[in-house]
Amino acid sequence: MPTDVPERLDCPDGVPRWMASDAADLLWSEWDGEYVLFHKPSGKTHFLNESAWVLLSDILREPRDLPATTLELANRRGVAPDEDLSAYVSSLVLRFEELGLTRRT
Amino acid sequence: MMASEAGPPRVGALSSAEWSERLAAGRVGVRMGPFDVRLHVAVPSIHAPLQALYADHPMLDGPRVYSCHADLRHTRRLGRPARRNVRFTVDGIAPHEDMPGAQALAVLEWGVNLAIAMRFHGFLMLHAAVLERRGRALLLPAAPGFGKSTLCAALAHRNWRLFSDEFGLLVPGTGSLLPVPRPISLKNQSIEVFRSFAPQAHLGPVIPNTRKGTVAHVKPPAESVAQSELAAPAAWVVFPRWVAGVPLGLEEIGRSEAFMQIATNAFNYEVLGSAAYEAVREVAAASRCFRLVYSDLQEAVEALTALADEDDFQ
Amino acid sequence: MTSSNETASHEAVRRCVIAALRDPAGIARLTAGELDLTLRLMRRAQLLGRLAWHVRAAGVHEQLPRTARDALVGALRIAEAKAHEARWELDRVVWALRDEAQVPLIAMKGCAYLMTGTPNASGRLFADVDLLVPEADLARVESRLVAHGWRGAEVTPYDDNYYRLWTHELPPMSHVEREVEIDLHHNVLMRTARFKPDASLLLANARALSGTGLAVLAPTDMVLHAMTHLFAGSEMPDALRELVDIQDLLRHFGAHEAGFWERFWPRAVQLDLARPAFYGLRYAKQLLDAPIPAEVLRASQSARPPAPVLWLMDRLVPRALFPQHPDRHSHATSFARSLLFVRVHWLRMPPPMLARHLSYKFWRRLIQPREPSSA
Repeated sequence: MPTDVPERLDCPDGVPRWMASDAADLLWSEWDGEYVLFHKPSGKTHFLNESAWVLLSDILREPRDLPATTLELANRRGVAPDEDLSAYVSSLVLRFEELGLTRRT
Repeated sequence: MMASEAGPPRVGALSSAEWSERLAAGRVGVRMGPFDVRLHVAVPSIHAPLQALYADHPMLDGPRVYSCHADLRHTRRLGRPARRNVRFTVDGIAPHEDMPGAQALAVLEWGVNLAIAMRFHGFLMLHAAVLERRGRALLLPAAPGFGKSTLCAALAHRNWRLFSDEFGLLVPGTGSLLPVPRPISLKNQSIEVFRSFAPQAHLGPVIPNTRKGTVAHVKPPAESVAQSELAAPAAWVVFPRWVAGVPLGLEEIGRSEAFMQIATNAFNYEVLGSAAYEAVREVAAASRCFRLVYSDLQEAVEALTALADEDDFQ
Repeated sequence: MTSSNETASHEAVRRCVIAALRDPAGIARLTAGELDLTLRLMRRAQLLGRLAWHVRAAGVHEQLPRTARDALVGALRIAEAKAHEARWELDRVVWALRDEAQVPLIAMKGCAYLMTGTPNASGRLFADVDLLVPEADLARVESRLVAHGWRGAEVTPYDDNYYRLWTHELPPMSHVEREVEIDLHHNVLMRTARFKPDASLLLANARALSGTGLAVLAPTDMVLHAMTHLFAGSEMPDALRELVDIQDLLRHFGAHEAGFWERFWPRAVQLDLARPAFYGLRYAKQLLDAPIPAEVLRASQSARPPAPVLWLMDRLVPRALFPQHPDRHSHATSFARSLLFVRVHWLRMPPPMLARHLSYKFWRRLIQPREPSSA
């Protein structure tokens, strides 16, 4: 069957990583720590808090797995990387993937 | 009056007999802001009220490119004429089911709104009242029933120029809005409230039992219609809400929240994509944004007028 | 049956629409009244976005009166928004099926034109996303989509039965957060239809679009699908724009695809789609002047219907294809459309089913008045 296999980036150790989609795909504004985001490929507008924005615009600029992402966010926000934060990060990253804002590598 | 004076005749300049004959034959065009609307109204009972409500509007004649061809007629049915339904069509297509004949005037007004909203995506169309003062535009976005139309009608009769009670036409890339002055529709109790507020205003017939309750239309002031080519940039966005018995509250809100509320109130936000995002961002950034709660119409008008008058524009 | 007034009106409509299709830039030279009618007709035919695109490409947009410019811009914006939506929907479908990478996903009709950039994609008003998958994979694909948030449209048990057993489609699906409708097919026609193309032949010749996770039908098959959809599958409301698609594709592939015309008629025969292909070629040539080599037209004569049927089709098809004049309701046109509606369903269903289905659809239409999606 002559169909193309969708691109898969390297996943050498079987651990899933995520990476934010291109900065060029986004238009954004910030007012008082609240972020409005327009994602050009989907044509959708999103409203993010500071943590979600840091995740998308900075931490996930390079591929990271969930534990590393949680740790990095904890460092930035000056909070403990506990189970609650871990669950929050996990649901956010998966939601971003569903929305096309990040992709799994 | 000099023969060389420019401009098309006004709707009110025709004799009622000629207006009626032409309207019934589909030979009437009315300019409503940027829209040239062709009207064919085979419902004689609303001919006179229509002429009164659009008296100051420019009347168009002859072949031209119309923004839409609106048609209102009775449906073919046996039975007493008073009980017949009316059918609204745009270019031969009925966008909704037939309505009771007694509501003909309201059906026509809503129908033209619908035709505009479905077609003109060169504009970001906000579900908002818009008025101008000191060269700047006030937007009043609001869900139905929050009192925006009453407040709009009141401001329009206290030295604010009416752009629209229903459609904010934002021109992408400019931050400016275009007027489309048309009759303002009031509902239920606000009809009498407004009559007391502005006894000199002209109201059309009171139409009971519509989907939105009892409805009546206010004729737009002549000066608003006369200046319908003059755009204005947005300067204030106020989310109004009438609540019985409350003291007036005017509270500034964050721009990010204002962005969300404005975007939610845009009919065609998703159609315009990044241009919509940019247009709303520009309005949110350039304007002061407020939530207004009020019970007294006069107080609300004074507060908004004071707001406009205090602002220092560079 | 037809008054001379109605005939004159239909002729005027035809001339107006064909002129706008042949020479979009020429609308800048029309009188105001002619331009007004042209815009109204093209809007009714769902071709206003296409006209807008071509007018802009030809550089004459600014010469038009403001009300005309506003109408064109509005139509083109909608078309672009829907094209963008369709692209994103395809992106999300490929993502949802990332663990089923071995299942071929063939984008059809509007999505195929969009993804391959054929000329008819410009300013085209997209409706649904049409995807072809092998019959054996249909259930698995459906369940993956459901797992990722797609839901079947709410249909009555009758319609659900109709879709699953008789057509080539599942009931349409859409993602809970988006409004775009997806139609999953395993063939281009119903299981019970008179023509039975072999889906494995379609799949075998499909062409991958590298980097997208999608494929499209081969050029001959893409055109044959469009012709089949119009002359054996559709319900005629968008008929003219489907013929415009066909004309554009024939012109495009005839010029850019080596061996297209040599392969076209043999492929139509091989897929058992010769009759719809006969009609497609005939009316694309007669009504829209598609550049079809004489030998292909000659070869297609082998699939012509009996003379009385052809006589009737020659009269019905133009009447049904072109939009009605917006100010004059033509009874002849409605009659033509309703005859063709019956014919299309006859081709799709055995007669006893047809009778039952038609009366059910008629009943549904009475209790659910439809709203146009764009004015």
